[in-house]
Amino acid sequence: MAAVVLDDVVKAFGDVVAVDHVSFTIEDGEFIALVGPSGCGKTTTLNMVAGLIELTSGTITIGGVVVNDLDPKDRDIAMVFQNYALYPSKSVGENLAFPLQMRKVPRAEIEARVKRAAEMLSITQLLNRRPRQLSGGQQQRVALGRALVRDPKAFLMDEPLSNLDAMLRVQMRTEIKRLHQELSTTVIYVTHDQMEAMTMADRIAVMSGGVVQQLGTPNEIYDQPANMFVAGFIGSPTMNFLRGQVGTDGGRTVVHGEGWELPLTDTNSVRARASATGEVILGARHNTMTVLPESAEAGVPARIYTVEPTGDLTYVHLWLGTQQLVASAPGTFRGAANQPIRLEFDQARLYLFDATTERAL
Amino acid sequence: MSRHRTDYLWVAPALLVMLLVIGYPFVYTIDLSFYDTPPSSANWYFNGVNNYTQILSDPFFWAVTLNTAFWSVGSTVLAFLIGLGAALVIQREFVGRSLVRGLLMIPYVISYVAAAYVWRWLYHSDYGLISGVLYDAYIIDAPINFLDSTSNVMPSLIIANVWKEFPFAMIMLLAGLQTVPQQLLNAARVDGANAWNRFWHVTVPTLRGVIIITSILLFVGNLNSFGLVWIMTGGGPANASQIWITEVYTLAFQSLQYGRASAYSVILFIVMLALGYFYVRALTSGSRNREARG
Amino acid sequence: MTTVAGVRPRGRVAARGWPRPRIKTLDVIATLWLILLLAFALIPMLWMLSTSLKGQFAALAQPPEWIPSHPTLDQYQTLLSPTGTVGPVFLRYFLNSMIVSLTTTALGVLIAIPAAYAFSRFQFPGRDVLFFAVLVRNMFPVVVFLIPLFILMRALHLVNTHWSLILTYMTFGLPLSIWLLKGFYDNIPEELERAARIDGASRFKAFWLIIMPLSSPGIIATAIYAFIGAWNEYVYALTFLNSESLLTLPVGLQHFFTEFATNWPGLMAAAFIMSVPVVVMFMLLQKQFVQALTEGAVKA
Repeated sequence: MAAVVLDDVVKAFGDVVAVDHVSFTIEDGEFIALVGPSGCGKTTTLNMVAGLIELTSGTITIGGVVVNDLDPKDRDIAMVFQNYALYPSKSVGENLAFPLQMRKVPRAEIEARVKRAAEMLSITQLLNRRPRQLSGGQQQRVALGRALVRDPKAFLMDEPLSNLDAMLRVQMRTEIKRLHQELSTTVIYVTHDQMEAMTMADRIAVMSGGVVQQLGTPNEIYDQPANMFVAGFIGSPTMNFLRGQVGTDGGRTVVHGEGWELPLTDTNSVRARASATGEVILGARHNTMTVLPESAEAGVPARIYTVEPTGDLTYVHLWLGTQQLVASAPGTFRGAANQPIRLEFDQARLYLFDATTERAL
Repeated sequence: MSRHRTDYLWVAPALLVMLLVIGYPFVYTIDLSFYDTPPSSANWYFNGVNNYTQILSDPFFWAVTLNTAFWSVGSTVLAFLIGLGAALVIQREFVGRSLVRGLLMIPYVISYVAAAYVWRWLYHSDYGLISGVLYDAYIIDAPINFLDSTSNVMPSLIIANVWKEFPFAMIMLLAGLQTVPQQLLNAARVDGANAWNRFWHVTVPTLRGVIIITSILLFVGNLNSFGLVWIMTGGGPANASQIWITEVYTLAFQSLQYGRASAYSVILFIVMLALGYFYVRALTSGSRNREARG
Repeated sequence: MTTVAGVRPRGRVAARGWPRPRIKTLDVIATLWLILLLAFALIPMLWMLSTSLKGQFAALAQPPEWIPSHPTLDQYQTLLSPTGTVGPVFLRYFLNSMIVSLTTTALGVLIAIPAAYAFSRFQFPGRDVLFFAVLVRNMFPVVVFLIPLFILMRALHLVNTHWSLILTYMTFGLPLSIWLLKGFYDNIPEELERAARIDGASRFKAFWLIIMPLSSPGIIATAIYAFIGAWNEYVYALTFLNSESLLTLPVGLQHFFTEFATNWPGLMAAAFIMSVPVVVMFMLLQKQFVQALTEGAVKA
């Protein structure tokens, strides 16, 4: 097991910069997730760590050794791919044995390791089958097994669960996490699914446009997003964003939006005034707002657009002025389209972003 | 499930033409093979299997068979290997790749008549380029007799044939190589496989179907390849380059023994069918056995 | 601990030194091999060209001259001039080849396309049968068909006409073309046609307007294959045609040069001229050809 360090890593394909000066350290034994939308550079970064792609500049260090010029096979890393990449002409057992064969491990030890990996992943009864005879979940386990037999310095996983159906995905998530805890392995896990990242990782690196937008623990990323992208990417349903102008109204700092106004608390006022242009974007998660009847005094006036009951919660889509929001209400909530209500914001959990830089204020 | 009559309209022209121009001669030839067709008389009388027995007991037939085996196996193996090598190297990305690919295909697209004459010229015992260059470089001290020597003629023909044919193997294998999944190669790289291992463990298994198809088409094509040999040597010198197909032509159009020639062809055809069948079975049964065990 | 990156202005790449070019041995071997292949493939053709530009004596010079010291276009002029003894005959051969090849191609494609489509959509017995047909057709010694076919053509009064050739040539490529095209059509989802038919098009119209354009690489490949096959064919042309005025190039070529002592430069020039159309056609359309092979043949 080893630490992996990325130092000012850049990857350019001609004029297109896929990975733009990425630097961070992955501690030994840590499970780190690279999350982001398609094209954000996370897979490219992973492939550079693996050695499948060459760096344009920067260095990557594994276990204290700079690996830029090393072939994948010399880096002592194992990889799990999105579509499993199992050798179709080999049996499961042969698939598991292959990496060891390539390293000329003695046969007795190969058998022992294959057996051990198969037991760990409960696939011992599949050892003689061909990949095409297995289900998606089973194939994924074999792919994991092939990585496990090696006992490498780091595990690299490229969206390994994306091809599985929802239920299997949840199941495999827990298994991978359990494996990580048992083996204390260093894991770099790439995914576009923020839920996977949140539930599995020790730390998360959120990427967009080739840049690491924020690196932190799941809680930090959720509670203290550094910018709008991170705030909007993490958490489901997505955070609501409201654009507005900072102004004053009778001594209090107020944010004026299109058809609505929100007075701010003192703490929030200070933050809002830090904006250079005076334009801010408010961020509020669905569960930090309360839907009140029209007659209430607190909150701001709003209008119901549509209501989505899910049993446990009810998602209420609202018009606030000309902007739409989603708030959640208890499952017992009843409302009708066009019904006027009042919306109260929990200002302690309100986020403020500079409208131009999109950074958190 | 019955379909509309109009559906058959789509296939009718093709089927008709093929029936006429392939089916009819096919049946006719088989029929004719049972007749004795003396060139001197217009009477063709039924001969039973005499033609066949005569052929199979003739030592000359077996000599020609040996030649044919040498010719087809040699050409196929060489054309395949060179084609494979060409495909592997063309597959990589480099500037001018399609141009190079196109240039390499030229031997395949030109007429075998043109090819035969060029190679005859290259092999010319007095003025040929090959002898000339080697002589000039003091590698040999007398011009090599390529096409006039009974021992040199077959290898010389094979080289000319391979020259003409390898682009076909190249293009088929190239198409096959595109189907090798990149991620599988990546997985093998990470697993520690070097270039050769990747080739052997990933590329070759993926290509198995294409390999079979290509080699069969090559082999059968070679067995049937008439024009090149005929124009270059006519089967000589002294029948040293006589292969089945040129022998058939000689029998039919020079000795005018149509019946025997037809019998010859039927024998050829049966052999090719059998070879093809066993070949395919051998290559696919291996995998089926392994699957059944699992 | 949270590290934060703001939204950086994009496009700023400060490359710290070029990545060191690693010259791998594999690259060197590959390049050498490629050069060897190109030499193998092209030297005969270049020698053909070189010889064709020489005079009679120069061609026979020893040691052989790579680049002719006195290049001359004499042979080409002789072959291509509409006056004189040789030119008109050669041009006639050229024209005949063109006629036969183009007609074969047009008809062959015209017939193969609907057949392939039918095989693809109407659930006739599948590719394996077709492939088998391709193999069988290749397996039977083609020269033997000469006899029955000659008799057939005589019965149809087609001997010594171009039609005998056209009819025969069409069958050479037909199974393979159908097989290739069927592969193409298999890859085009049926929903497209269904959508068109729901919109009111007849089955034929749907095919013509929508499916055909999508399979154009396959059609082009079929056409190339048919053309090249017809253009280069020798044995049947030799057998079926008698009149000097009807001969195609491959046969005419032989006719030319067995009469005199072999005029090698002339022969090479004629061979070169004969090769030009097919090579040019192929070079221009090779992308489609390769694509067709990939889609149609290999995705089996």
